[in-house]
Amino acid sequence: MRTTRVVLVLLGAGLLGYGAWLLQHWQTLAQLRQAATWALVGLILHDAIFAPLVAALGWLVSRLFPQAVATALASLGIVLVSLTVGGFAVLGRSGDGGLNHTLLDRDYVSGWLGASIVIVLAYGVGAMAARIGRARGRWRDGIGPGRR
Amino acid sequence: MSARRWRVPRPSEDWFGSRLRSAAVATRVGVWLGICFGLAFVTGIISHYAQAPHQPVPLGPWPAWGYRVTQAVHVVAGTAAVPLLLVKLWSVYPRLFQPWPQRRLRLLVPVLLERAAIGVLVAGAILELGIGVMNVAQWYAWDFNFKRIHYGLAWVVIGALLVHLGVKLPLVRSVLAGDVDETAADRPSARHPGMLSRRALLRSTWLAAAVTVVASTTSAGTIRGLGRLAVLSPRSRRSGIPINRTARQVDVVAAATSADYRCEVVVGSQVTRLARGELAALPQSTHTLPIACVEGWSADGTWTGVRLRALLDHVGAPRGHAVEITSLQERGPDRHVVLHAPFVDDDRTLVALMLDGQTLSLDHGYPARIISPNSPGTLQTKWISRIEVL
Repeated sequence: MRTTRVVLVLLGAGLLGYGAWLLQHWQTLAQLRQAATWALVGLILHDAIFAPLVAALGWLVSRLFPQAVATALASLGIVLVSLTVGGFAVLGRSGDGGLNHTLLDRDYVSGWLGASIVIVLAYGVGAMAARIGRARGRWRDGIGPGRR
Repeated sequence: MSARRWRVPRPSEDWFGSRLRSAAVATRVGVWLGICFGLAFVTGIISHYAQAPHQPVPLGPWPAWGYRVTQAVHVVAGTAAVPLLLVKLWSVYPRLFQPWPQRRLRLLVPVLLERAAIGVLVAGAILELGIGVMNVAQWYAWDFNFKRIHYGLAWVVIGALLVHLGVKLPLVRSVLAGDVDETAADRPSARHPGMLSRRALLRSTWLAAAVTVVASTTSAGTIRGLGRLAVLSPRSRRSGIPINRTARQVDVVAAATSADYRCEVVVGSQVTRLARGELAALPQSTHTLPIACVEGWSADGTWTGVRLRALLDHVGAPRGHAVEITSLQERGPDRHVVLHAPFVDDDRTLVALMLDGQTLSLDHGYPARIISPNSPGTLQTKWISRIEVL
């Protein structure tokens, strides 16, 4: 395994170095500085804003709701946040294609809202079905209300 | 009464007590993230190579759908990587507050190097995915050259990923060999069960990746039934085959509609000028071929025009040579492109004059455009002004 690790690290360092050379070879210093600024802003946005915000929300949900609801909300949050972040480049940009009518040719906010409602409803139906399934299981096992 | 000094609490990894933020979760998500990065990297290299003016080993025109599939995979893998990266970073976030080894240079140096590599990996991955998603929606909010930064950064990210894998390999192997609920590799402070089980967290992550891919897919019109679900796709296909740049955007309307328009075919010092009517008078061929873009969309069209090979035979050009195609557009990276010999000599490569039985529209390249199988959209030059045999 030691050999594999050494090969991976050396190969990775080589590819990283090649990529760094490509970047400095192809771009002016000003362009590189701008790209580095974008990378830094992305990192700060995630580490200093997005991640603490998600942690705080998670903490709040775990204290405000019973376990079953918190579980569903956490899972739902992962899906909805992913959908929103994945669509950040189109949300609010409907019609921005200008003369190009084949680009950005949807109402993205309505689409996002519709998709979010469908996902929330699907989670609700799933949670209800799971609850009914558990209740039926308890009845079958003879521990339902009235048989205790 | 003594005045107390108020201090901002220093974040510590002990603040994060959930067992969900664990190596077991991070590794499993990381495997799929690595697969997505790997697929996006390989398909990106294919696209870059396909557009290169000099190819030591030219790519061939077979299969006609090759470029379409590789670039759809590129964008799908990149889109799926967004939720995977978010969950991966969430699961390892407490590591950001790990204490540094103090007063021991021998211990400090490797930790410093490892963290620097992780910093490059995380910042690079966020930027690479961010500008990739923005490029698909043609949102260029920067002055740098997207294509070159995206390509160079891909090598940086994949390199940093391999370094990271090399450093973490023993942990990765031991974690993957055990059960997902195994706690041996957990941080000592991770003692509380989270809101979800680890299995439920992973299932939610896979679901999030699938939902994001379907909602954002640029393949909306290519795969039947996907259009209604792709609510965040930058291309709905309601207006037919997508267009990347319109004739007005690149300022070719006057030149393309001028009665003086001629397509120059250059072989050495011999220049033949053909009006659109003369091109239309040559034997015509019809082929159904996909037009595919690096941005992930592709669409089938039934193209009619002169076979490029027949046109070159008409002016006495030899076989086995690449050609440089020039567009009427006065600027932009697609103004001059090189079409390699296997594509030039393929019977399906056309100087297209019609699309789906109609005269080409201005935005699709009127008066004439190139269409060739298994080629990037950037090589399907619109508004041809000159074809020069190299």
